[in-house]
Amino acid sequence: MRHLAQCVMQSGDEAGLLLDYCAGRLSGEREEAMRRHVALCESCRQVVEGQQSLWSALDAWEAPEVSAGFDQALARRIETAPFYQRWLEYFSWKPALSAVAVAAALLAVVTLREPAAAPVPAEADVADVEKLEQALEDIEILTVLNTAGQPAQM
Amino acid sequence: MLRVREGDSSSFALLLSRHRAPVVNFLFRMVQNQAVAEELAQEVFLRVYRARQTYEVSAKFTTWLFRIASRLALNWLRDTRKEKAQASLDREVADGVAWEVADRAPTVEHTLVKEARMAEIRRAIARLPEKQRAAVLMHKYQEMGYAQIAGVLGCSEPAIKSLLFRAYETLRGRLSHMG
Ligand SMILES: [Zn+2]
Repeated sequence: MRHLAQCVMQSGDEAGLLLDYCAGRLSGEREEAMRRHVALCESCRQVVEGQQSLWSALDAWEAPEVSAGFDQALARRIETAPFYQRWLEYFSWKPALSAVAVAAALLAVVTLREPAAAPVPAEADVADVEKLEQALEDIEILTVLNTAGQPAQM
Repeated sequence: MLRVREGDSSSFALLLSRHRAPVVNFLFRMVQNQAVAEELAQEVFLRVYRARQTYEVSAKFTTWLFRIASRLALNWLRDTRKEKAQASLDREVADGVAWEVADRAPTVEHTLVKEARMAEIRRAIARLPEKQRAAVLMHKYQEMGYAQIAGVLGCSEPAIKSLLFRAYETLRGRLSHMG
């Protein structure tokens, strides 16, 4: 490729505009002004041609699909967070959690912390607490999903 | 994100469904390994989950999300390089044509050519300085604007514009024969 002296449009804010033009992200006046410049400027014309063929080459690089088990793996990692942390999160995240649910959760915590009166450790209690936690979380997610609708900010 | 904290009109599940693929895809192109990308993405969303009460309302969620993702990717790349694995990544990418084709049944010339092109693209991206690489990937594949990329990478907007221009210039030079 023959290299021409760099045009002022290829530095500073103008470089951003030129890249936007190459990517088809300009419109109206600005696009028209850039089109006129490129028609007259050999150096920028080279950039535009090179950039457009680069972008179509990059388009061919597809990312694989996210694994089907991604969310479950994440849920497992969230669940294995320290026990106290999860409870702190529930109480601060969901102040409007129903009193019944909170009472049930507290009861479960108390049960779990009960000194080992029975010879068998409270394995079943732990499982129950985890089920309860999961259920609370499901409720939370379902409730907020119902009213979700605001698009993510970009 | 504010809404997640308040629990009124969005949710972690919704955030996950919206941002899972963009974050994983970005990380995949950063580290060029899907298993590592997913592992890092899990870490990203775990942090999102844990930070939902302390999130700053002023910052845009996607910017914040990609800031975490970029940091994790850049750290991973640095650690990996420390372990001298970067060299092997470069080799792997360079040898990509051979092993990828050997891995798959079709031996059509078309596939070979396509794989060779892909390997070249991956290698060209992998050889960019890390910040340039992150900026190009966010600009090209996430279609982010300069202000947002600047926010993610903690640079000024003019700095990002010239960084991107340089990065693309390098790529155009490396891949010019492919056009
Ligand atoms: Zn020009």
